[in-house]
Amino acid sequence: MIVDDLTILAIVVPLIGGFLTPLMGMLGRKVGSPKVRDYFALLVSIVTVVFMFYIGKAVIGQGQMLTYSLAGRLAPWGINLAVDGFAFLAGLVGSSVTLVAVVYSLGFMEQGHGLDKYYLLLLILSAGMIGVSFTGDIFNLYVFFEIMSLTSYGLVAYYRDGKALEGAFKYLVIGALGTVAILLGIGVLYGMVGTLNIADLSVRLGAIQAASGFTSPMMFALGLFIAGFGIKIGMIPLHVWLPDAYQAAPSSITAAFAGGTAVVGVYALLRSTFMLFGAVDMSTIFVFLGFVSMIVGAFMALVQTDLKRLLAYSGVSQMGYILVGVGVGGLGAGLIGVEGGLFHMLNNAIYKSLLFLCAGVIVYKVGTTDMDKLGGLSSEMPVTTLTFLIGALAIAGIPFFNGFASKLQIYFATLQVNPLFTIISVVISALTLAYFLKALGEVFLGQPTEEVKESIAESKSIPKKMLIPMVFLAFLCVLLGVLPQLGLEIVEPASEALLSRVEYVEEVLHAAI
Amino acid sequence: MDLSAVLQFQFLDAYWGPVVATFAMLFGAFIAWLFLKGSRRMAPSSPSMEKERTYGCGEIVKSSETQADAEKFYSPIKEVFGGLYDYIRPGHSGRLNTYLLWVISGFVVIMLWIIVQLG
Amino acid sequence: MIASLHYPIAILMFVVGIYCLLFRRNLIKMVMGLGILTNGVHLFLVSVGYRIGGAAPILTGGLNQFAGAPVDPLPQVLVLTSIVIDISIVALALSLIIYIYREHGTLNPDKIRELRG
Repeated sequence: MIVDDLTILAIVVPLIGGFLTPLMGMLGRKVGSPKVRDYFALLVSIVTVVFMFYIGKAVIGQGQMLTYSLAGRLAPWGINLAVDGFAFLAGLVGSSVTLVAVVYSLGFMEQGHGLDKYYLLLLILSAGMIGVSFTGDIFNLYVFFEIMSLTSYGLVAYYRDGKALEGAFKYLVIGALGTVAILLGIGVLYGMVGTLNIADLSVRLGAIQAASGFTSPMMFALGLFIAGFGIKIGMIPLHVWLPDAYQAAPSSITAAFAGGTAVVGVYALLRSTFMLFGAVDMSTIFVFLGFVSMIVGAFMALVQTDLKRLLAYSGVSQMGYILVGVGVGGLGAGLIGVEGGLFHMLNNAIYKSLLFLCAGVIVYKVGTTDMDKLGGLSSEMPVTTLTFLIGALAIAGIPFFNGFASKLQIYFATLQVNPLFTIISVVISALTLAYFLKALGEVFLGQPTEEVKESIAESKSIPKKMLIPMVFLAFLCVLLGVLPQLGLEIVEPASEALLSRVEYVEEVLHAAI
Repeated sequence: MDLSAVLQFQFLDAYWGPVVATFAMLFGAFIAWLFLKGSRRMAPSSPSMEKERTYGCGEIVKSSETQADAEKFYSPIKEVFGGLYDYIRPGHSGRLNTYLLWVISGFVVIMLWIIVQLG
Repeated sequence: MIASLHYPIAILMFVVGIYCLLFRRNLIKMVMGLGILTNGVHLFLVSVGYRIGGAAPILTGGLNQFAGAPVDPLPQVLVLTSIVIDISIVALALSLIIYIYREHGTLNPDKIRELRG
C-alpha cells in the first residue's frame, strides 16, 4: 500500500485496537490468563510505532508531505489529513510515549482492577494524540483534541480514592473551559470566512489580513485559541489543574501526559497561531508568558514536599523554555529559536517521562512519594537511582546530556533579541539544578528511614518490564546528548514546516486539483 | 552525516562539539579514577558502622533528625523572595473557584495583550 | 429585529455560565454552569449560519431552488457533534461527583482540598 494510506491507518488501528481490548480481556479470562489482553495492547502500540517509522521515512527521508482525503472528498470541502514535518514530530512523540507507557504498565499495573478499561482508555488516548497531529481540518482537530481530553480525565481518576477523584474533577472543569474557548474560536472563524479546512482558512485569513490588517474578530479568535490550547500545555496562569492532576494519576499515565499530551498541545497551539494567523509579531505573548511560566514553575518547585508535584511544577517550568524558544524565533532569531524550542520539546518528552517512571518505581516499592518519608533508597534500587540521576542532569542542562544541546540553542536565540532574556534563562536553569539536587538528595541519598526499612524487609522485586523503558529513555538522553544531530534530523524539517505557510497550503489544495 | 557535521554542532557564529567534549569529560573521569585507585592502594578503605553514621558527640542520633525537612530545604530562598511567594502560594491553594478565577483572568490578560500588541 | 436577539442571548448565557463556575460553592451547580456555558456557544454557532427568511436545510421539492434558500447546515452539524462531546463531559463529571460524595461526604469544593500547595 502506498504511504499515504498509512496516515489514516495510524489513527484507526489504535482506535479499533482499543475497543477490542476489553474483548481480549474477556477472552483471556475464559482461557485463564490475563496476559492475552496485555500483549494485545502491546501489539497494537508496536504496530502504530512501525507505521510511524514508515511515514517518517517518507516525510523526513524524502521530504514529501503526505495527504489523504477521507471518503474521497477532496479538500477544501472534505476532511483531509496532512502530514508535514511538524505533524510527524508530534505524532511520533505521541505514539512512542504510548508504547513506553504500555510496556511500563505491564509491570506496574499487575495488581490493578479494571485493567480492561485502563488499556482501552490508554489506546484511545494515543489515537486522539495521533489524530490531532495528522489532521488538516480544524473542527476535526477539535474533536480529536476532545477525545484526548476525555480519556485523560478518566485515566486521572483511575485509583478512585479521594485524591484521584479531586484531581480528575479539577482537570475536567478547567479542561471543559478550554473546550468552550476553542469551539467559540472555531465558530468566530467560520462566521468570518465560511470554511473549516486549515489550508483554506490560512489562505482566506491571509487575504483579509493583507487587505485590512488584523480585524477584531480575528484578534478575538486568536486569543481564544491561545487560551484554549494553553490550558492543556500548562502555560501560566492556565496551569492550575496540572500539579493536582499529575500528582493524583498513576505514574505511567502521568508520563504519557508529560510526554504526549503536552507535546500535542504545543503542536495544536503553534499550528493554529502560526498557520492560521501567520502572525510573527504576536510572538511577544509567547515570550512573556513563557518567562512567567519558567519563573513561577521553578519557584514553586523549590518548596514542594511531594516528589510527583515537584516534577509537575518542573514540567511547567520547562514548558516556559519551549514557549520562549518559539517566541524569540518569531521575534528576531528566526529558525534558530524555533529549532531550539522544538528540540527542547522533544527532549522534554524524553526526560520528563523518564522522571515520572522513576517516581512510579518508588510508589511501587515504598508506597509513597512524600519526600519527608523517603531516604536512602540508592542501596535498594541502583538502576532507578542511576536513571533518575541521568534524567535530573539532563533536565538541568548539564553537557553530555540532551538538555544541554537544546538549552544552548535557546540561549543563543534569546541572545539575538535581548541579553536580559538569556540571563533569566540561565538563572532559572541553575534553580532547576537546585531543586533536582534536593529531590535526589532527599529521596535517594542519606540514611534509610522507617518506611524504607519496612519496604526493604518486604523485599518486593521490581519487575523487569518496568525497568526496560526507563533504561531505554536514559540511553536516548545520553545518545541525543553526544550526537544532537540525530535529534536535529527530525526537528529541522519540523521547524521549517512550522514557519512556512505557503508550501503547506500548496500541497493540500493542489492535491485536490 | 559526514565527519565534520558529527564533530561540531554549528549555528550562527557559535559551535559546540559534543563528541570532543564527551571524550574530554571521559578522559578527566578516567584520570580521577586512576587517582582513586592509587589512593586506595596506598591506604585501603575500611568502612565501619561508626564511620558511616552521623556523629552526635557520643549521643544516639535518630536518622530522622539528620535529614533536612523537604519544605525547609531551601528556606533562605523563601525568606528572600517572600513577596513573590505571598502572591503565588495562595494561588495554588486547592480551591476550585480560585483556580477558575486564575484561568478567567488568564483569558483576559491574553485578550488585552493581543489587542494592545496588534490593534 | 427578532433575528438579532440571538447574539445578546448567547452572550448572556456565557456570562451566567461563567458566574456559576466562579461563584457557586457546590459541585453540581458548577456542572450546571458548564452546561449553560456550552449551550451559549452552541446558540452562537447556530445563529452564525442563520439567514433571514431561510428555510430548514432539508432536501424536499425541486433541486434547482435549494441552494439559495435554506440556512447554513454546516454549523448545525458542528453543534450536533459538540452536543455529543458535551454530553460525555457532563456524564463523566456527574459520575465523578457521585464518587466524590461517597469518599468525601460533601459537595463543597472548598472542603475538598487534599491536593494543595
